[in-house]
Amino acid sequence: MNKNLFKILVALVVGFAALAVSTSTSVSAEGELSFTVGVTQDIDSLNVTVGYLVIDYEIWNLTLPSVTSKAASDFSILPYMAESWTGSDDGLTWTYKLRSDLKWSDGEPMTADDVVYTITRSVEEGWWNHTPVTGNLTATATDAQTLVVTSSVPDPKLPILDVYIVPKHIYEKISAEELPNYLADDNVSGGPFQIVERKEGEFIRLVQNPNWFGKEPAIEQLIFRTFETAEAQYNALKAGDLDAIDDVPGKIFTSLAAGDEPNILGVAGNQGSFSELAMNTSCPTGIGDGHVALKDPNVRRAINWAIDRQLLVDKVLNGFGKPSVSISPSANPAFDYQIAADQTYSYDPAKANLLLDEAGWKDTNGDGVRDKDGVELKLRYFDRSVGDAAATTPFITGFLKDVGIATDVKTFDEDSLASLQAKSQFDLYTWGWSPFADPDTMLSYFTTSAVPTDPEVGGYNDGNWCNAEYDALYAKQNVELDPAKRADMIQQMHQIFANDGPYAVLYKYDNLQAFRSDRWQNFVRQPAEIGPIMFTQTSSAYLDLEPISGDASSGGDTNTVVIVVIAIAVIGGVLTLVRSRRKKSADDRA
Amino acid sequence: MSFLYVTKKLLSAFLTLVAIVIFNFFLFRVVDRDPLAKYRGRSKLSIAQRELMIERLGLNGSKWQQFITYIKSTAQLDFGRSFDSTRPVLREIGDRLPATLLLVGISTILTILIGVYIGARAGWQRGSRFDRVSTSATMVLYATPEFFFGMLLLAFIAGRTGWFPAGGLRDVGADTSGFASILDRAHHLVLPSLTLTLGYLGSYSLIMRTSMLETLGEDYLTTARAKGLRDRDVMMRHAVPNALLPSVSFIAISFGFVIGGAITTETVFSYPGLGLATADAIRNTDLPMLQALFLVASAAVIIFNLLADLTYGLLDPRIGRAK
Repeated sequence: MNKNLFKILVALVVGFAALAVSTSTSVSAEGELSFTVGVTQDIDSLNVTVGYLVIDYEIWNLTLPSVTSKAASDFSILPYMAESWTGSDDGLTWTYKLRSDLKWSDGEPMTADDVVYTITRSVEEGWWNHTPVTGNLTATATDAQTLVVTSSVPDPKLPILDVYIVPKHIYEKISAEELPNYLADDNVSGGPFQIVERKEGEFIRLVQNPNWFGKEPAIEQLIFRTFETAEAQYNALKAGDLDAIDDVPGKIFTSLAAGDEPNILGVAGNQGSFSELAMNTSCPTGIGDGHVALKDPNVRRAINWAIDRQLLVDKVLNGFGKPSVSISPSANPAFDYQIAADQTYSYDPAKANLLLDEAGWKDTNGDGVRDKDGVELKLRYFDRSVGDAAATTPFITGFLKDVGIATDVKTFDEDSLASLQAKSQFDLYTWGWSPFADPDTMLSYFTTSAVPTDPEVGGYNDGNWCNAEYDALYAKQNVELDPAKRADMIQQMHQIFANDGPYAVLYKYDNLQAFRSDRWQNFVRQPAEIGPIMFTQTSSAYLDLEPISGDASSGGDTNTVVIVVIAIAVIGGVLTLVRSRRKKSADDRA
Repeated sequence: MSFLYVTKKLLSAFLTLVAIVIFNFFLFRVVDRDPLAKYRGRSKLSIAQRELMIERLGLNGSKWQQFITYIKSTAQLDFGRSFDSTRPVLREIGDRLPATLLLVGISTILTILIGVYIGARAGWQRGSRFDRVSTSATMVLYATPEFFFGMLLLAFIAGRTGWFPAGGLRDVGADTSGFASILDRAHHLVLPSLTLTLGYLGSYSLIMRTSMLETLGEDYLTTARAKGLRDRDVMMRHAVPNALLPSVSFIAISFGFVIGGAITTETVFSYPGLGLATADAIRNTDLPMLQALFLVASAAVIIFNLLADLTYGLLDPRIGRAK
């Protein structure tokens, strides 16, 4: 090692860095009109019978068609594959007339046969993303453009038929046994975009579907880039590498909302997403090993009274959300529990203590933990390694400790926690839901039939809760075609759920998103005014976004800058080398 | 270097590897992880589907049968399928390996060059201003976790100036091919490799300085000076080569860790290499991935250790002949 070597090294590093700086501008100048979204969640599966993450739905919304669509503003029915529809007098049968110009991205015709195939196979094989809508349906195609759908019971969801239609010519080659392993990497699309490239854990790239039949998007290329941390993603947005990000940390969002970054628009959108503390109520028809205390509704109520929801909203969500005592069954807030704040759970540890005392759980040995008949009120508390769990858990366990309930906290990855839930082997656990537009699906999760009875199969009823009155109301609303009557039934279900139910719902949280407002305009929220822009029920905002003229892909001047930077770097490097060589020669002569 | 010495080293490396392969099997079976967790409570798996998946994951049969299958498939470099992605683990690792080799390889080479230079000069000029400044600086670098540098660079260089990307491996979707593609990769490499270089620099520099100090009093240096050689030549031709000797094994082992990746740096910069794969596998309790990553990382350290031993034998003939 000598000085010359060091100088060569420095020259190389400087040259390398300068060249590197020059790359981004020149490269992006050559690209199509791209919209790049930063996400902190990687795709779980592109297979519509397996995936379940919000990012999975976003990709399906963009690549898989449905028979009808929903308006961004209020979720009312819109044409999609179908351009018109008529119902029978009894409301059980609906006939849809499909457009005649439908084609999959690979050129194959998209017909009523694809819909019939999807509905029939999803029912036969119990596809979990489909059956909440298709479970009671049968479908036939009278011709390529005429689809007849019949429901076995009156179905208030119809004529909206918003399940992902899969390409029959692709899926019919995959057996039922192979389907869970199918990676859905054929990239055949029927939506506005088609997948062209994906690197797991890195990005997914979509371009316009050449056979798309709807509104033409301005975006030519749509990229979702995965980031490990929300901070890195935010810095990439600031640097201009991204056009939008989802999942902005609350503290950063606060500064955005204050206008600290004039080129970045922050959007706090609510579409019903909520977090809860689930309690294992040990439904008699179910399985598992829930703590005996949680069978008592009064203990569950005590836990609800013990939690300071407003504190959680302030500290965990930085104020971007609101306390909630019942589920949000729909992205539409009209279906939320309409109850005055002073008539339901508030933070009242004294009331919690009283309820626990009355239930017979008292601290007889003075160790700070309540007990009854020799059993301690110590609950297994499971949370997940993602989301807000790490922030909420210390608060909640603290609230519980304050009323004499001990907890044993364990953290799991999402899949492992879901697996324990399928076996009902827990006492308490934290999770969250983002509902669909129609409340039926979310409401169905708490019926007795959704209680896990086989650990290999599991079930959505993650409180292991059964209530005959709730079940009866669920069945009634499920076939009630009068919206007002149905809404009333749903309010009664809320009341039962909040009073007796398996959840201490914590809060509804906002989806915090940010956009480069110096590059893009026409950000459409779903639902109108309160909802987010991306990761919505139909992901239609990508069709509405428009570039701000003059900004996109202007690379002319940057090329000059690039050449100058490279020239300076090369000249600098050469000069350094020459100088060091001369010095060496002089040293040698000395 | 004697035949016996080489054979002994080879055998020892092989046995260590075998022990790790066996240990690996039991280590990851201690964790109670449901391999089909991904599918529970969602798509209802039929018995046939379940059996097929269990078989694909190599989890059918008794523990002993699983062990035999594991040994056989490991010998064929078949590490099974990832619980998370369900793709073959070897493919997952193969996809991630080049990115890590590039990042950690470049950083290690830079660190060795700069670290050895600083350490050698500081040791040679003990007590000088260069020594005082460089030793203090390298101590600070040594004591600071590398992800901290990463976060600083991310916030102040990537976020504030936009000179370098805040993460990733490439400019996704840009029309890059040939030289442009290489430059694009280089652009994305700057901040992560700078982070790693800063993170590793301290240890190399301090080790080299200590070795240099040990050689300062050696007779051959006095002899070299007595022969009238310039100070610089005494340092470069006599002191540095001898002082480098103890650094050889350290450098070799460092190359071994190249394969293991840089978990925190790759995570901070969302750089999709083996380090990030490890972080993801830990987060998802993806046991087949962890098992393979652990094995690959261990094997790399063993192999480079072996190379260090053999190189040492070549560089210092006394070692090759001993015992």
